[in-house]
Amino acid sequence: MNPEDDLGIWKRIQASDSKAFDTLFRQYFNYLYKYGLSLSSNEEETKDAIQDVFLGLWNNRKKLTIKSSVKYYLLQSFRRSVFNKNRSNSLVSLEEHHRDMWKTESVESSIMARESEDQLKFNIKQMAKVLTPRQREAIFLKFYDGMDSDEISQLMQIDKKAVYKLISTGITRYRKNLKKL
Amino acid sequence: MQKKFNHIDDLLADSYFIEWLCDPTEESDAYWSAQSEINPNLRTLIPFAKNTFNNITVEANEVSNTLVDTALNEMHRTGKVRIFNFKTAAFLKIAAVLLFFSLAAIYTLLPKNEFSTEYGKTMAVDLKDGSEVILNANSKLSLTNNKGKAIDRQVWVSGEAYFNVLSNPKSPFTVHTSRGDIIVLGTIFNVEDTPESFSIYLEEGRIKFVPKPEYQKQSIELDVKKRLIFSSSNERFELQDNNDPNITAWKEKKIVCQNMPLSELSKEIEAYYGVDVVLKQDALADRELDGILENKSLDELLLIVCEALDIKVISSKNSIEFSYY
Repeated sequence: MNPEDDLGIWKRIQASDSKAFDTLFRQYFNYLYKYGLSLSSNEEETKDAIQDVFLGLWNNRKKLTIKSSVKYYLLQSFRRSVFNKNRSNSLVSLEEHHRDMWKTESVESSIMARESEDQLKFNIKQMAKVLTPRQREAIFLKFYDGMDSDEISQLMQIDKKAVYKLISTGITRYRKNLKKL
Repeated sequence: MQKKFNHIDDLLADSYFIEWLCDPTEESDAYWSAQSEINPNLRTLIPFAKNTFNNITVEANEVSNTLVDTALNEMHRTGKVRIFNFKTAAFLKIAAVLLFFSLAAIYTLLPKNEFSTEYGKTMAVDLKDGSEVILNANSKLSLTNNKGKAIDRQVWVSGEAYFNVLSNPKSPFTVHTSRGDIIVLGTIFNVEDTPESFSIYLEEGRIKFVPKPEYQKQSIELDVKKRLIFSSSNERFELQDNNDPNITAWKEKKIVCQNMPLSELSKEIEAYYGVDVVLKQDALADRELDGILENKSLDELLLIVCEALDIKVISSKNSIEFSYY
């Protein structure tokens, strides 16, 4: 996902090139889907949210100005879309599902817990069960995407200190839960 | 200040340590080397914690290409994204003009203007003549193109739809289905036309059903609150008194359960949301529900069912499994 390529594709989209639209969609779907699962953990909603983002991108292509990063624009409007959906739906029911899935996956987790201590692998699905949405998001952006703290704080609209805190408590809580199993 | 660090977890739980790993400064470098002086433990713990931190990975299942394709196709299909290239658009205009002249005679007979719903969605369509149609999930309504002509009151439906037809004795309203035509003078009724079942339920007014000749020659008149079904076992139409409270509940996004067994409810969920429902234990099929279920979202619906029956559900993308705890 080279930012210069992205801007080139974006210029073509602005010129109503539908092939460019498809290309961008394919390029980011995978990434946004995983990001979405770390935020909301509902697959259907995540897909809807991605479609909303691209719908907005296409419908507003003449008005929209993207200066620096297409990816940043996509991430920003994607998280807005996910949070809007989450607000309107009942979060309780989602949490219920996870508790169920947690039960069936405990065998897998206990294997992971036995892995050597200096190897910490976060699994997106399991993260959803033990971490808060913001901890999950910070960890995803830091360790999946490799964003630096400035980018994370900008995207999540929180102070850098808060980013460190989320990462730290996220790691700690995840490790504790792995050991319990 | 003196902090206790006996294990790498103590370090990782310290957000100042995390800050140092993410964004080291001269100040924090100095701080942590001073800490190591005081606490020799840290000389081994710090590199260990650093290594753990740097090796952290996030795993997620890969997204299948099919899912990407489906998601992209959905966007094109819903028509919300009207995508043509300029070249294609010009070509389409020319093609449309040619088509208009060459096919003008039969053009008006072809179904045009399609409305379709995906699984889990319903849609209200206002027709030009003032009639209203509510489409159930996974259904399709087609209208004729009647630009510049007297309003043509005929529609094609597949799936399930609820009609509220404006009365106009001069111009009957016709609904074409796969098994025959419904001729209407102004009335409210529900049509279900799917490969599995066919039924017409009349709520108000009067309608006449003209079956396709291969099924039956004479037409059938329906009275209020009667239901016409097509029995696929003997390939005949049958008139019944309606005793299914659910028949038009779907349009209010409700499922009315009167001692409805879970096996029945599962069918409703399957039809509406396009998922497979599995009952892990056979005994679950006969568990009954009583009450009105609001069909807002699948998640909510499942939660209510589980609470009512004290069972659990595991749901994944395309399937739902009910089981005992």
